Amino acid sequence: MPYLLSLILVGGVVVGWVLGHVERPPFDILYVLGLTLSFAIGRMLSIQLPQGDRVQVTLMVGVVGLMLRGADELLIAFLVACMIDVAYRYLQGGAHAARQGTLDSIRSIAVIALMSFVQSYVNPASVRAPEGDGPLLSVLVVGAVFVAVDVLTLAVQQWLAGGAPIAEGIVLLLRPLGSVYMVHIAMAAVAIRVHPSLGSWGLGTALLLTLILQNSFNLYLRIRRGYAQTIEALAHAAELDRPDDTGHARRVADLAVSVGRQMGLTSDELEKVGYAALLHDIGRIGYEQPEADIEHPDRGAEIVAGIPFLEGVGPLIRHHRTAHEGDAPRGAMVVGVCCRYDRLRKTHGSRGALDILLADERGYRRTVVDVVARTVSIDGSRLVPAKSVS
Amino acid sequence: MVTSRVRWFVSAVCMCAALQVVYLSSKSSPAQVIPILLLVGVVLVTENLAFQLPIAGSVSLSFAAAFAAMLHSGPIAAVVVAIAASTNLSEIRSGKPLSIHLFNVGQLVLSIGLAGTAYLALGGRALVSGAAALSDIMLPATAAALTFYIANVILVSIGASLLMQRRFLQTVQSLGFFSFGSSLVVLALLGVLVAYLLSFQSWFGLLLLVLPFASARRTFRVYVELTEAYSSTVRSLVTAIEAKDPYTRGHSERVAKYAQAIAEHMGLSQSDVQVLERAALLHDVGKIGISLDTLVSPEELSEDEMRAIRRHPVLGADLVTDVDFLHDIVDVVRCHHERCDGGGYPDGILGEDIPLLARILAAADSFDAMTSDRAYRPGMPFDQAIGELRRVAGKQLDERVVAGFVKVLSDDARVVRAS
Repeated sequence: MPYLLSLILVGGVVVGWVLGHVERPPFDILYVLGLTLSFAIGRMLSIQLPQGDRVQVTLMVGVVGLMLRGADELLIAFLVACMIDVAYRYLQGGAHAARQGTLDSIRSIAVIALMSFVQSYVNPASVRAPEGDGPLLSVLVVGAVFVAVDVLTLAVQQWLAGGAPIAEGIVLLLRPLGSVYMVHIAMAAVAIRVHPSLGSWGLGTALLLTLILQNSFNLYLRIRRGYAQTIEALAHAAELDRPDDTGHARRVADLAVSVGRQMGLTSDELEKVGYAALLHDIGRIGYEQPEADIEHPDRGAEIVAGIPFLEGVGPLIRHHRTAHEGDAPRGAMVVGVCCRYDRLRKTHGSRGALDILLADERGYRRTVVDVVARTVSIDGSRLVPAKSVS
Repeated sequence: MVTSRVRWFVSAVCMCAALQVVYLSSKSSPAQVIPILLLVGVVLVTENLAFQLPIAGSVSLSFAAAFAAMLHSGPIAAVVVAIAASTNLSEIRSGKPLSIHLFNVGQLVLSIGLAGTAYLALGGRALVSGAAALSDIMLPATAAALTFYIANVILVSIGASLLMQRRFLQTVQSLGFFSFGSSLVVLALLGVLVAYLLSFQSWFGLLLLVLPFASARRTFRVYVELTEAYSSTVRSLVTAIEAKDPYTRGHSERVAKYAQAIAEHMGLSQSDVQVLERAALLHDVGKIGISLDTLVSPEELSEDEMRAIRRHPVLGADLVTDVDFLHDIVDVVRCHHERCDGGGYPDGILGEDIPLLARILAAADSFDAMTSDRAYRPGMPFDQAIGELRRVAGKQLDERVVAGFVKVLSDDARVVRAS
């Protein structure tokens, strides 16, 4: 299926290529080489998303190449760069990585070719030799369209590969990548503005700065991922001495994030819900007596209170058992109900657990129970994609 | 410490800087006010927000602004921007001695002034006096950046070595001037872009150039904060998890302190020390699965219980193996119960085959196990435990590690107090 879609896209693209380009500057081998190198470097510095996928952003090179010279040489350069990239990935990660790389390359080529349609609507001459800042606007517009096409096709590709639905996929992509795209578009505009005076030096400088800025976002995403994985590992470790509970935190987190999303929690809240669910029992360790059990949410909240990464998670842990409408964050109630559901499910089964909760809970928590019921019946075995905590 | 030598040095730097400014103002080119004001505004904002570039080192963006001012309006403009950059409000409020502030201003003005002199001497001219092709300013601009780098390195190293009373060469090495240099290259390139955009009067282009840096700055600051808080995060969570066993409470934290001290004493790299700290904090994370009764049992353990305990390094390594961040510690955790004579577990590997960090961790771990109380015995006094370390050196523990550890324990009161 992904191959089919790619074929259709590439077909559309070739037509676009033929129809799209307005004038053809003389073929310049050095320019193509430089472009190839830029693309190859850009593709190797891929960005790892919280969901685990790697994406390549070479938007800046694409926009600059498109605006300055048109799509012909760009496509050739990109094709060569993609081959280098696929070979590199094959050496790094074997056939699977190479297959991913090929798919992604086909998609990116399609995007660039589609963009040549758009390019034909701006006046290339004015962009190539800008008098004032006017042409910068058209660069921004082309860049924005480029981003839209890129994100849309990427979301479609991930959906076809079994990822989130397209609309949700777009949000999941734009959230971490929005700033990176912004950097690329802005730097493309700057590169084009200084190009008449600085020539390829200006382009190279702008590219270097773009990659450095991109890397700072990449580092940021990487450390967030590191935190997420660490917390998950430690939450898992904390359950090891209670074999009955193994997997409880993970299941509650998956269910709570899925339910919270349906209840309209913001993505920030969802993230906190995920961590609160993973760590909601952390205060229980070492206190197995029933009377101490009532206080464990407080202890858990205190433990996470000193952790900057988990800001705002403490209150969700503190209130997850006792929260009722009005006096606690919504996320706490989502976590609380999901936690109860998972515990009751063990003794009473799914149906029995839902019956107890429906009879017990009131107010907002009751609404949560309804959503839990819906979520569980839609997809009993696999509640949400396993990597929902971003 | 501000000694009279420091004061003499600061006075000399400031004098030279003043002379430099007088010399440069005799050669000044016509200046536009708006670009200079703009750059001054930018450095005032970025300096007071303590901008850090997302590359190693903490060179602030102000070099790019000063460099741009030099290319665009000449050296005097660069000096103005540099002065603005070094008057940092939060620094002034921080209550450092006056001579340090003076030194910061003086060395920056002197470095940028020397750079400007080099620029003019090699035939560079301000872009404001007419558009110049890049090839015309390439050589002078490169020389200027290089001059700035050399002057800055020398002045800062002298200042720091006087202040901290250390040797000059040692200071040069410790200040990380290589990464400073690579940041400087990037900032100089940024300065060139800014200067050209200024000369085109492309305000929109400037905005487009500054915005990404502003947004990256925020991200990068959060990144630095999160990186710094990572170990303490692991520490709080591990402490919470360890709470189940009253006898091992605080164990991992103490082991981490010992291990860090040994590694620093043995001269391991900063990144190795960090890996070791994380490994030490997490080395017993696989023990959680072992039931409390087994762990605190004063009686002889059955074979099953023994097997369960011997599994904990593997279990711990498996737990952290999925965390990209902790990739380096997996082997350290796995091997922390190996013995140099091959009698350890889980793999029974020998001597040098055991990763060095794991050997250090093993020594720190045994020492803390010996000196802390257990259900079935009180902790050993320190002297006796040190004797025990010496006894097993070469058999259970690595000789070199033990020698370092013993030295650390006897030298460094801080480590001992930590227990």
